[in-house]
Amino acid sequence: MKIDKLLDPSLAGIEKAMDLTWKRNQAITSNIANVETPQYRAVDYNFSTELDRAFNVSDPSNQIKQTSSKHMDLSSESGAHLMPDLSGATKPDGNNVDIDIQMGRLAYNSSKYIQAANLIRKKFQILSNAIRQVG
Amino acid sequence: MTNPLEVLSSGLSVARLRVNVLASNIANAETTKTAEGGPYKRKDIVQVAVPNKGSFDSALDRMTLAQPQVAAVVEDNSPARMVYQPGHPDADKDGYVAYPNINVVSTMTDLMSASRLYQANVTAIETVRQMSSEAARISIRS
Repeated sequence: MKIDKLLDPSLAGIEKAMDLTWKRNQAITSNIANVETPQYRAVDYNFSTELDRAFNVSDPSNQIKQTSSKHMDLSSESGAHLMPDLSGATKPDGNNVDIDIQMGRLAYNSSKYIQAANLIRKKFQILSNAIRQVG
Repeated sequence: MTNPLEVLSSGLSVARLRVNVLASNIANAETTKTAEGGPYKRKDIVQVAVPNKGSFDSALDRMTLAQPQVAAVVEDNSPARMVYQPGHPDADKDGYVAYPNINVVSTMTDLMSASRLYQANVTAIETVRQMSSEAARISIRS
């Protein structure tokens, strides 16, 4: 029996969720740091689409076909999903960061990250309990 | 990818500089004589976003994360506010004194918004720090 059979298959999904919330956090912090920068345009990760993609990667119908081995591997996760965030109104200086929306997102996103981290820790705790409590 | 703490600390330093410049403007709102001659000139900062194009990954991104930076501190060259004060040592031959063209009320509101901006960056740093420490706790058995 392989060791990874012991682990819950959802572990990979939670790991992915942590990865994506961390990336989204980078976009949010960049927006917060640039609230007063003229001409700065807010950015965001489309979190739910990204997560769906992450969870469905084992389903072959969801994968982009590679017709040559020399092509770039697009099916695997790449960082290229940063998109413009149009949630805030553009101010006279050309900046469209809404600080209240960004701070709210920061709180929401970080709690998601912490939840995912706690879940992973719990899963390992369960496994270690199962290993230790013999006889 | 960019370290969010790096981006946020430039946010902090830009916000602090903004507060310093605004404080200098308020403190010198009535300064009629400077070393360069003439009244104090209102100062303002020019803030730019520097795209983070370090890695190949970020080059592939349609958009990049940006770090705020101060390009320059500029002086406002608008004409001084002339006040009729014939007895003043800095008065010109017609009895007018040149005061800096500073609106203290609007500078104060700018100062408040700059200090809120600083706080927003501090909060974000605190959140990132908490996230990192939660991730580190994965390996701790409780």
